Amino acid sequence: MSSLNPSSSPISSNSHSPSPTSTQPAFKARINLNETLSFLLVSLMVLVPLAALMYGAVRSKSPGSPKAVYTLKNLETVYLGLFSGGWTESVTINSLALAIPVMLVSCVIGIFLAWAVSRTDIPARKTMSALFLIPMLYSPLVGVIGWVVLADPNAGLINTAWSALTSSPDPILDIYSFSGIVWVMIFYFTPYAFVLNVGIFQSMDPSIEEAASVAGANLWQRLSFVTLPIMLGGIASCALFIFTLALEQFAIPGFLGSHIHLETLAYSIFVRTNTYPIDLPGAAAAGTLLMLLASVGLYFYKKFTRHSERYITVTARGFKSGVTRLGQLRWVVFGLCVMIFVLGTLMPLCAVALRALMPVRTTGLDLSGLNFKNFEALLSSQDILIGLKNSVLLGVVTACICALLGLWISYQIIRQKSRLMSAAEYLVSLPIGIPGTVFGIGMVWAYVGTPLYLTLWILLLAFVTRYMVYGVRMIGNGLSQIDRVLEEAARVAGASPGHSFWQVNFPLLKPVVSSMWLLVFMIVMREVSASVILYGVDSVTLPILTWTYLFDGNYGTASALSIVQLVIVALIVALCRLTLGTKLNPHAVE
Amino acid sequence: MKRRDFLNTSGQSVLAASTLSAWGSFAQTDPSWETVDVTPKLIELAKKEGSVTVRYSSPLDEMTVMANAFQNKFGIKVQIDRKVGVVGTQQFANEERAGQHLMDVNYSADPNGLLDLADEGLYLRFTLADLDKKLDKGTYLPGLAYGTKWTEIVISYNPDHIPHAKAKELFKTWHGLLDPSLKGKIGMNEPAGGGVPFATYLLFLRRPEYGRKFLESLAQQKPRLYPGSAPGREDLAAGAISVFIPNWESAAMENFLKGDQTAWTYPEISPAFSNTYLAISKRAPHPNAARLFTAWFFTMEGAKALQGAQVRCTLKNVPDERQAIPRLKKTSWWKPYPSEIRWVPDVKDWNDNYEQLMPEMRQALGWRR
Repeated sequence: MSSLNPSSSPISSNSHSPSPTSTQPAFKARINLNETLSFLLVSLMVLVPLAALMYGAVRSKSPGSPKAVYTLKNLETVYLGLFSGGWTESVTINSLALAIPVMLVSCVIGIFLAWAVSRTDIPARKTMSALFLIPMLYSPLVGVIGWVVLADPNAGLINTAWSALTSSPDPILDIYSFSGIVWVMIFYFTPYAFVLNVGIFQSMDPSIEEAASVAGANLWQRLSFVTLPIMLGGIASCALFIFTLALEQFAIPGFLGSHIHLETLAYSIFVRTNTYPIDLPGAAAAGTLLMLLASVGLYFYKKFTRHSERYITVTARGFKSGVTRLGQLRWVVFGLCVMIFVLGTLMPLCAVALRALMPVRTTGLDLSGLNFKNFEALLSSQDILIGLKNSVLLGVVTACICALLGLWISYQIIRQKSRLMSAAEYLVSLPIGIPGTVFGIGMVWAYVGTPLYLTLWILLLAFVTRYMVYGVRMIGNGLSQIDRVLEEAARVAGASPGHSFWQVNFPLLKPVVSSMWLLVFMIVMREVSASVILYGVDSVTLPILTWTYLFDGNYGTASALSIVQLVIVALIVALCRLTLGTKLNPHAVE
Repeated sequence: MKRRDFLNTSGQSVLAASTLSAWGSFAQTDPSWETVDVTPKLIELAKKEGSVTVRYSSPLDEMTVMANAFQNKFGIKVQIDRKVGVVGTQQFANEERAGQHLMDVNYSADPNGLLDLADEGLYLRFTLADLDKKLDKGTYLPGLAYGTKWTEIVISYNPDHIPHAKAKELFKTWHGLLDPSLKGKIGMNEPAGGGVPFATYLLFLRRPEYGRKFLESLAQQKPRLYPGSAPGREDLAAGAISVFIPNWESAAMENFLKGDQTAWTYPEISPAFSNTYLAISKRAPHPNAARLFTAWFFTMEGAKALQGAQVRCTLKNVPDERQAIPRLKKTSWWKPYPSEIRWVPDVKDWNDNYEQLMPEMRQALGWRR
């Protein structure tokens, strides 16, 4: 499984490293100290907000309120309400009802795109691969703005054009509807499905399909009876990963659903922290429910990835990635790929750019009124400078800390294989199953009385805790493929353990580290769900500013900001690629 | 959780309620209140502090005008944080109770919250120099918070959907919103979206010609409900809805100047009140800058700067130099706000019944939470 899928442990896959019996006593003692420190640090980072979340769920009032007492009322309301018409019933059903079709359709599209660029001879495969990843550069709010401009039932450009063409009063696409929300979420999550499945295709030996072809199977038979069954485990884990992400996604259903009373659990939790009446204990109690639901997905996901050896497709024998010649059909497949890109990425992006150039909305589309006033207003405001500084700072520092922690912790997990480090590994991966809003609530309860509250530091702590799993998993993946003999040879030659690590392992891990760095940087640059609960005046970030502008009705400024953010992230990605050769394709770690 | 429970501290809310109940007969001064005025000494101290953090409930455009004007005048950086109405109060209470003193000034539309937290000792007790010469009674909470502007509620509409003449006729009263042709085409701000929607829905509930039934009938019109007013104005301009309520004139004027083609009209009765107050945190991290920011907007220069956001200032004797007025006079549809339609919300009713009214309004409008 590719590295974007941070819960799949790469670590157990490498069993050819010798056990650390040859370790010298002094070195062993140091490692044990390291292990203990790693475990304590990880425990502190992960368990404190979780414990605080549980604590918050059984308090009667917000932190610091006088006369607050312990109570089970919040949990009762949340859990019993699930089956008795409480507020959690409808929002939980909505969350599941959204997550399931989003998971299914995103996976189908993602698999198709991955197959098209990995296994067929369609034109411009490399370009396509890059284009399909563009949505990973921007926040989910870009899709929201774009599709509001395009598909508002009464004023969206698509619906206006449709109405003009057909004289039909009914919209062809209503973005303020259940299906409209699913639509936007599908295109947001398709790149995840694409990336994960490209990884699976690339690691799959094409000789099996070739054998089927020699035996007379046509394209559909090969896909149905050979390719897909082989990929099933990987696809299932990908689906569950997307299911978990869809469950925690709050910005898209939150904004679009708030107009039609369609609330999800994740959004309801946010609402309880940020609208009248603020209800932090209720939010914490609901957070435990969302965490539980996400854990179910994660449990099955882990189950699939745990038995990934059943679907082993990478063999010691090297192979060349095979290409199926589609003949004339390749143009059909190419056309479909282009259509998906246009629908899912290009159209909403163009709509956002258009809105950014419109000083005010008008009933019709008046291109003569376009100007750069929204950009001027944005660039002259202090907010953008603070947000930009904070976002870049958080992105860079979080990615660097995650890289360092990844190197430190994964080294001990891989090389020591102790129970303590197994426990640390479990703790590191725990936050991936905790939705951002829930994690944010836990952080509020944990740190509200400390100087960290509402500062950049709490955001940094939250991000590092949530995303260090990428560092540990991706670097661990890379480390597990470096034979320990190399490091031992350096030590025999007199190098210290640290020296041998930096001289032997680190150079080999550089591509993985830079890939992981970039991935974490990109994730932080678009993170909304936890930061919307944790930010303060001085610690506002670009996605939070977009969110604020959007909810304040300044769509033009929000659009301009989205474009600016996209350009900045794209420039940094390009810079990393040019200077370090960093590949966005997370499969680079394998 | 009830708002009062949330804010409650040792029965202090009872004191707040009783204070409010005597709103009209408040002591207008108290020797213990600090007098805040723009003085060279205050300016010097404020400049040394370098910045001021303002939490605000007004539209972003208005706050941006204020922040830029203040910053240009004094070179003091203004950091802004939007938290509408009661949310700003609750956030401030959370921070202060956790020992975090982050906010300097609250530009708040939640008078009850201001009073509650003042009684808890979280706000500075102060008065403005020459208060009687500056403000009318009723535009401020004595010793605590001072309203900068009049908020006059209007019905906004998109003339591409409803021609001006028809709108004028239809919206002579609020009952025009029940016209069957408007089903699915109305946008409304949710009751907790600030003082403006609350005051408007309070009018509906308290006036016999409207009442709860009117709110329920409005819900039958399947309105699009917005958590704040600004997205409603955007959708109105785009033609996604045909009417938006409740809007207020200064916000509509601000959009008009940007080229927004939407228009507005005045029903036979409409809330008009001073609903956004400047209050100073007692433990403001930038105490002098906070005082300067607050006092300056009650000087002639500050009030004129505020008019840049098209608001009608509460400060007495300020000539109306709002940029939008001359341009609006050239249109066929605009007329000045008719003062005879003013309906001033009863603040005692507002305060005493807020907790009961809010869910009632939400329920009547079909807003679930």
